[in-house]
Amino acid sequence: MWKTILRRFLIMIPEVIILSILVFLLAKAMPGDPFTGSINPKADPAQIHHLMKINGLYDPWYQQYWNWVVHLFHGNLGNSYQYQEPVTRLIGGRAANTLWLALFTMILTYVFALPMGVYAGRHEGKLPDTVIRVYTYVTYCIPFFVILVIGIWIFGYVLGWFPTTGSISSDATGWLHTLGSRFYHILLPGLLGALFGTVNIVQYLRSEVIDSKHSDYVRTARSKGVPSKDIYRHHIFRNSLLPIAAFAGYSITGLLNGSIFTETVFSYPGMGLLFVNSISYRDYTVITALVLIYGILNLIGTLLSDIILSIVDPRIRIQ
Amino acid sequence: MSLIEIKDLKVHYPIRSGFWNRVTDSVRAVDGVSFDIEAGETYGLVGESGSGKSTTGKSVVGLEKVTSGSIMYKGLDITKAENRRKLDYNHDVQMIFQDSLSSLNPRKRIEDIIAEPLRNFENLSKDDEKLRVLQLLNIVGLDADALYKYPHQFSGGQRQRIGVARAVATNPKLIIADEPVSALDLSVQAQVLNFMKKIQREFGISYLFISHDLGVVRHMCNNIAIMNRGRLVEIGTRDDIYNHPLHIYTKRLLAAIPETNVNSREAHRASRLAVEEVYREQQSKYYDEQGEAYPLVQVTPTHAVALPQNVAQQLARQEGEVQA
Amino acid sequence: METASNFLNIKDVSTAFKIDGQYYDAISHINLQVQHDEILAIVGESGCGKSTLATTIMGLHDPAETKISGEVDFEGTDLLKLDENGYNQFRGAKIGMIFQDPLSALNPLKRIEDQISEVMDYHTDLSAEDKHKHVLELLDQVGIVNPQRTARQFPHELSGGMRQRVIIAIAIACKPDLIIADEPTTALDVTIQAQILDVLRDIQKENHAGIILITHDLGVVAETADRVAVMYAGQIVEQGSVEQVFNTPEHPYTRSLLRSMPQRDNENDDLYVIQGNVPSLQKMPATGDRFAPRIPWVPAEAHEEHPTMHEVAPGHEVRCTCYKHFKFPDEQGSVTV
Repeated sequence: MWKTILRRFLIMIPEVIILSILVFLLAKAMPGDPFTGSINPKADPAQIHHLMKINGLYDPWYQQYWNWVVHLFHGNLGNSYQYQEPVTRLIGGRAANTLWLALFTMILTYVFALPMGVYAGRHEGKLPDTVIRVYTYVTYCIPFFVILVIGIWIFGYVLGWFPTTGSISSDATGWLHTLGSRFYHILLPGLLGALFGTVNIVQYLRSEVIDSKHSDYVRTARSKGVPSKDIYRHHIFRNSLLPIAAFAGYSITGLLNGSIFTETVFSYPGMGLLFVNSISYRDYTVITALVLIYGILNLIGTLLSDIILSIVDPRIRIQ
Repeated sequence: MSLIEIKDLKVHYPIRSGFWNRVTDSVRAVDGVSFDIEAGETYGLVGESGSGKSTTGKSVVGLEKVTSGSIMYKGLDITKAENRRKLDYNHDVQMIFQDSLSSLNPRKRIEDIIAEPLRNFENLSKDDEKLRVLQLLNIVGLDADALYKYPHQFSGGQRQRIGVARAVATNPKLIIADEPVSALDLSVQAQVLNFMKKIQREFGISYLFISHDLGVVRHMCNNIAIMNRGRLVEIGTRDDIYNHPLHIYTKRLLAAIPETNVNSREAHRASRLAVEEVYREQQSKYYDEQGEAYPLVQVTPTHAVALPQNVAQQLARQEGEVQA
Repeated sequence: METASNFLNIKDVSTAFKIDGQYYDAISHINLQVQHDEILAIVGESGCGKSTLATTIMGLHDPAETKISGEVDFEGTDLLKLDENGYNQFRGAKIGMIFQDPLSALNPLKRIEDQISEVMDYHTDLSAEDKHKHVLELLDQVGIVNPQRTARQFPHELSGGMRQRVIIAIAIACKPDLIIADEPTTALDVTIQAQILDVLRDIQKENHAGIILITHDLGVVAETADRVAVMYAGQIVEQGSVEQVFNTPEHPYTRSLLRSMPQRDNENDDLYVIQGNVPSLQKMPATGDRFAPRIPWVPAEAHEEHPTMHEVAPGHEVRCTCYKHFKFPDEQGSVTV
């Protein structure tokens, strides 16, 4: 078991290296150079030339890549052009916000989706199933940002139940108040994100439950005289949850990607908002760093899914 | 010269294990199998699940990557892809599968399914092609209105006959039939078997008939090879195998076939249990120290068994067969 | 047939499935008896309704999609009148069922021991320790060499034959009076098939159970069964002792089936082919002999309009009167009435 995980982890290393090379080359391919913005436009071209030389910008790409990696390991990702502060500090401040929101959204998603999916599958074709299916179809048809905009309009402006921007109110003092205010701010984006995120899980789980219901091993259980509520508890649930559990790792990365929409609409200061802003200001150092982080998080999500699957499914446990 | 000669065929699959996932061992699915198929005959390849009989069949059509050994057809070794291309091998050798539903594309009409090999190998005009497909449908006993139907609209037996029609479309010399009737009901099985015999008589086709069902094999095949864990344990004519079996594995298989004679069922059961007893107790006599079958030795010109020479001779004498 | 020892009495049972809003009979008016210490084989080709009969006895049909009539009298209780809870007192306890595909019939995520002891959870008061002991005994009884090890394993770690033994262990865990085995050996190799049938026979002797063996394999029937019922298109067309049915088959369908089997003496001939196809559920004729279209050379007058079972010998019954006149086309005088 641990061997498998360790091996999967080692396989990630070359993946990360390839990813970082791609990201680095992408950054290199972007127009402009790092000094264009930070130097007096009237500076002597020869001086710029000199600056680029001592900063190694004329070295071959692999040399530059190596330097970049060394800096990376020292936590130095360069300075943001737009904010004029180190990228590491810039991202560090926002990563926590994004992770909080993502985690909260994920918990809500599963809290909503699991009972809905199982209930719909169990009562296939009955009224509650139809209601849940209509809900999933409707949500599925509407683009995510439209849901966000409608949500913010109804609950934020019309009803005024939730704040519509930021991650914390400016007058929050004391840790309890701070925590409460933070939670209050992620409540609406989290709920709306979950509303959208449940769709896939509900539909998938529903069809899994229906499949399991008609499976041979459930028929075996019935012929053992197991009452139907126990059949659901002991046979159908676990077997239907299997693919959902395996999907959990991926869904984390899905949420991070979704955060780009949520944070933009809610002006929520996280990595997604930073990403969108950096693109509009062509803040290359920040973009590069974020692409790298998102890439690595994706790889970790995949790894997580593999590990979860190998825990819940005995058929995968074999070496 | 035989139509096709299979010599020392081996198909091994690597087993990877350990931390670095290195190849540590291999599954010897087919481990040194040799036999020849003559033109116009039905050659039976019999074994239980996992014996490697299907892998052998797939190797003969060129669907399996062969580890070593050769399959000679018209003087060339067709285990090599360039030789298969040169000979237009898949024009001459076709395959019929067990599961007729999953081996026919559900979204294609019967016309297109049967015409597919024609389109691959022959340049026919639209009209000629249609004529040929109609002829083929007629041969397998289906009406012209089958042309525009889809596979799921047919019964299992009809689908299996469509599979046969597709296989014979290019006038092949050899058809590999992998368990062609094991998914069919008795009455439908009879239809398909009769039909396979009929087209053999008419077109001189050879079959490699792969099956676990010794009753069907006896009905269909002139020469039979018994396969056990990747190796052949006995080769012979129908008479050799069914009336003078020498290897314990062959005897075991034969004894396990349920018989419809109710009156002798106790005797039949007793003889089966007796064979099982021998199989359990005399493993070392019939298999080598690794539990593998011995190389084949010839006991009569038609009959070979995988046993040490002296044991084979002794058993053959008991069975009343003499070395010619 | 004396009814005193019949603990299972199937009386006039029909099961209809809903297809496009209409009900069609998959089995119609089935009458069967099973006694202790006997193996009753139900034999027929796919679609003849033999598995439907099994699942009807077990009460495994969705009541919203099926209509069942008649009576299944099991030791004095009409099973068809029971609700789900009532049925659960019988399933697993007094009736055990063995399924065809041993891989899919076991839950892939549960250990063998849990799957066997689950039956005992609902039908016995045994302690966890006793259950464990009983699981090992059962595995031993069905011929598993290392019960300790197998109990801890998952289904995918076992071979097909081992899995089928586990299924049998589940079916017999509570010593049921009736065991229904639906194609128990179809997915297995012949040598394993023989072993599994031996196990079934041994268990029947030991537990004095009655077994309903459902199969399409005439060889298996001839070697295993005490009595045989042959089904065609949802009806029983012939039943009797195994000797009666195999030595003196009467119904044209039984005779045709036996003749279409590859035998030792017909190696070089064509096999007998039954003309036409089994009618689909929707196209089943309401009256007349359902097998008549497949023996068109037999004149219509030879058939009954409402075929019933006729006793040709004690315990040997055949449907429709056409058997009296039936001859194969290649036999002499096949067109006389």
